[in-house]
Amino acid sequence: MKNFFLLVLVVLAAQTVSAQQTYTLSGYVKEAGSKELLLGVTIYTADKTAGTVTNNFGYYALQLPAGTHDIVYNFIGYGTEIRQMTISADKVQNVLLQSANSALGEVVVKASKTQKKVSEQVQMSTIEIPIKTIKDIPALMGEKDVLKVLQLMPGIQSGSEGQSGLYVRGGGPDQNLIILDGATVYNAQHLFGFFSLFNGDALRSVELVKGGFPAEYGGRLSSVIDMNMKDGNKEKYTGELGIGVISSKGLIEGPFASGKGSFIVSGRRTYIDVLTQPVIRAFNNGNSAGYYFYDLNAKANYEINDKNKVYLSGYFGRDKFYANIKESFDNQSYKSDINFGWGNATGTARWNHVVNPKLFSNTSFIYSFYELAIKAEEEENDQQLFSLKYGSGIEDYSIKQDFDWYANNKHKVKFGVLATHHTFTPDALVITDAVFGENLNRKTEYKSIETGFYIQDEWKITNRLKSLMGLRLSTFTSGDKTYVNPEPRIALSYNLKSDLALKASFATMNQYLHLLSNSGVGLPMDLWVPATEKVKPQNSQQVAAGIAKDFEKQNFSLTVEGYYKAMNNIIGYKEGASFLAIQDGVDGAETISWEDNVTSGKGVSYGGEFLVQRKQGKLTGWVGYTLSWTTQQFDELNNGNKFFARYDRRHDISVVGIYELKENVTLSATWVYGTGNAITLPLSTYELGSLNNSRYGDQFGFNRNGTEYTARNDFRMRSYHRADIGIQVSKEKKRGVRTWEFSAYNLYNRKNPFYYTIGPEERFDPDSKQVLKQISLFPILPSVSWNYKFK
Amino acid sequence: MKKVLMYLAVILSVYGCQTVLENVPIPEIPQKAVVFGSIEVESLYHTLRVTKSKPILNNSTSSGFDAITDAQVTVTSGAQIYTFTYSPTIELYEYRGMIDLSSGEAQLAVNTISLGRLTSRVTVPAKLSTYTLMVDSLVREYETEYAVQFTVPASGNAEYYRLDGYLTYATDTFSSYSTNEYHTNKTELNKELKVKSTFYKWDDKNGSSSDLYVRLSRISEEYYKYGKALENYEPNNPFAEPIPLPNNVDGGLGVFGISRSKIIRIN
Repeated sequence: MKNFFLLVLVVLAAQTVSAQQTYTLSGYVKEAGSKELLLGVTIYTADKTAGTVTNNFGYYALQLPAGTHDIVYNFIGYGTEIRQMTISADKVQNVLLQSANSALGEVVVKASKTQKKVSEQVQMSTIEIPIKTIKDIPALMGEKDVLKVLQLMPGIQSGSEGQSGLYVRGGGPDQNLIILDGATVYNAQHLFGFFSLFNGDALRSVELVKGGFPAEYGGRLSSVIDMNMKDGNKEKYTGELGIGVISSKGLIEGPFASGKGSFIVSGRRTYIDVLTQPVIRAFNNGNSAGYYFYDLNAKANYEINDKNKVYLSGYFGRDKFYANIKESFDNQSYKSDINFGWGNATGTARWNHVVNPKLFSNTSFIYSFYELAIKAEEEENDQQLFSLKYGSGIEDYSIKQDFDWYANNKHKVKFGVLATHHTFTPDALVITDAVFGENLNRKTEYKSIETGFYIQDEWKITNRLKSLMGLRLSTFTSGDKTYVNPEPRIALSYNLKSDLALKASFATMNQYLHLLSNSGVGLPMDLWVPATEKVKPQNSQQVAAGIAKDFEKQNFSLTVEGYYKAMNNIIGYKEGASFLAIQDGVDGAETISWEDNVTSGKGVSYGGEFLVQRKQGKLTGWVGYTLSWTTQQFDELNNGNKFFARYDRRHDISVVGIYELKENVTLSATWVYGTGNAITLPLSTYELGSLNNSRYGDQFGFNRNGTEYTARNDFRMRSYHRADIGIQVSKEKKRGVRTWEFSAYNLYNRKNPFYYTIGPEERFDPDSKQVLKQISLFPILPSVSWNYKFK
Repeated sequence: MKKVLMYLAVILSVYGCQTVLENVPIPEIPQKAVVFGSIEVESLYHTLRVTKSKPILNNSTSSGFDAITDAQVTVTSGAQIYTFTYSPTIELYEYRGMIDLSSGEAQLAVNTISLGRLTSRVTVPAKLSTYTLMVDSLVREYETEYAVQFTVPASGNAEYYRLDGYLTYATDTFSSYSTNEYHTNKTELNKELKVKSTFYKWDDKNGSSSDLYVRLSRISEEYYKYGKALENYEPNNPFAEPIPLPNNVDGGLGVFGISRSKIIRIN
């Protein structure tokens, strides 16, 4: 394998040497006014003989023959800059692009590389959402949510009402690699999935890849969501404030070290607990209970010189439920405290180094942590009676080295390595019971090492044919078992016309982490565990093909893609197992490993996706449609028969429109439709008898009933559809721009299914007949928010 | 206007929660006969319960289940056929006398008039030959806690056990059910199995004492699976995948099992 990598590099080097003598024009492209690095800026010669785009750190390199060239720097939403340059040696040229909105004093990334021509990109199955769009689209309770905007794109579905979990091309929420400045975020959800961790304030770019994965990414089967935080304004101190229905937020950014460095800090906290506390105390004898979550994003960067930059960034967020109860009677005092929390922490230290104009290096040290913690304590007369601490989580330390090598104008090579040390703690429990004198201290911990070596070449084979070929070699060591898997990736694009391309891709992915979930909705209680000798890594092979067409005059683009994805070794709980009993045997000894509680199977997803998108103009937005099938088969589930995945969705439609009514008034609306989720419905009930010569009760003396079900997931809930609208009105004030936003979620009050249950027709009459009931969550929910952006 | 909007929001919130779904095409499932029961080796009394399943929808939960009272119920072991008769008093099919299970297998047959024939075949668990019993006790003011552990040597075969206990009071014949646990050596066939549990014996303030009996039973595999499945049986979680309970009755539903028990009084 090592020899293969060397061979590729040698061939590319030979090509470089044999080509006509060229010089390298390189540098960074930044936003004028903030000096924020711009990603995905197109740079090309006016005669279009050579071109490139800036990388994830705003760096570019272009090979040019000696002579005078008109170089075009183009980024939609920013002014196009044309510079005439005489090239006679390697040249460094940093460029500032003026935002089209700078006249308003705004310093926002109005558009991103999404708005490049789709027919020019080799990569397919990729979605890039401009941060501005995320902020324009109406949201539940006014809380802007990156992941929920991604759900509006074809091939990406939500699990159920209001949930921010992503189901990408038939994959579960555990199969998405969510990375923030290179750090993995394991549970990207607040409040049991109703809000995601990312509201977009501190983000510079969001990109989701759902197929044809570049070799630089690995470790998950279904998607990569790559988010980069803003660097912070290098010119001046500025900030934002926002007050919404359930949370408030703030952001501050500015320069330091005479503009060589900059920082950005943003935070958000909900205040449901603060607002409801007086009511809760009044109705509960002064006892308190509540819930809140908060996020904190921070980043600083420092430019040592033209060739070296360092970055330090981090995220910290937490959800917390709490209840504190105090009671007194008969001169006895009783106290009970319950805390239930979960949260993520990430940290990334990066060093960008321009080794030479053609070779860009990025070295990252990454930390990622997720934990669920439950703590309960009981006291009587200030003496502890009982305490319980339960925890589960995952902690990663990673080192990553990436190189961008601009070999020549036909080859752009990326290669690198990532090594991660994982510590999984699926189960840690400490119980102290003073009443019965029982203590328990149990901890299950797994340590493993995951590595990925990759090389990929974006090769312009001819003027019409381009490819992105790569190979990733992933390894995973857990205990005595080591897995080594080569993962070939290829994407091809052939331009039938300048604005029409045929595309195809193939990718193999391996996932060495499993999420044990018996809810299927991505709760914080879900457990991350490693692949082991017994529970093998998940893997997938995905092929996709499609067309991409740009309608430049009308500012439309159209993509149509079909895909087929086969997934192996996906896991599920054995029937009867649950996370609370991860160490309890279903079919084994009294206490067994979680490995014996899970079973593995395979899945298939295939379908077609259609996306028409308008990127510029007063009216922007898109219409997306997905037709798909997702099935699974486990030998130990559903009698070994194939069944539809819970999130199998035959039809999924989304319509998004954003209309700039005036310069300071933006209207937005969305409409979504989805086939109902596949569920297993109880049909028949029977008496559970005793095996102990007894007439009454089951084995445990309870009068419980057994249930016969439909075949697994053989019943469909009602379809889901919903419309949201919003209006943003901005006004320039003395110190900045103030924006009011009014929005309505579920405009026509559709009662969408959250789950189905069976219960008595008359709620309090046990003799009433049992009927099928749909539980819905959100009726029409109006919201209002106020934002102020300082100049 | 503000008040109107507020009232509207409150009404919608309540109204928006729960909807009874009507005219939803629900797959139909035929009614089935259900049998539960177990044969205790060397016992002189055996019972089985036979009922009918019923559709969940359009029935109330309080109406109970109809017993099938006119079925022909037999247990066959080797050449011997044992016929169970229905007792309206206890609503069970009963057989008085020992059932010879020396053939190593028992076959249940239930012939119903309207719901067809049910059959089940079960292998008789091997005799519990050797074991070690350890009892540790902790005396408190009104109770004594017993940690009971049976150690069963490795046999190389999959074995299934049930451990339960009873309290009997000197003042009457009342027995109080104490605990009920299931164990197996299935994952470690060549390792001795420790079957353990904690039992409590209560002595009331009037000095009335009770006796604690523990019962270690070797049980058939389906018996074990049924008991184990019930430990985790939470059918009312709308988010969890459903848990179909074990069933070893062909033509219907239920569990037919066999057990061999050893009862020991703990002093």
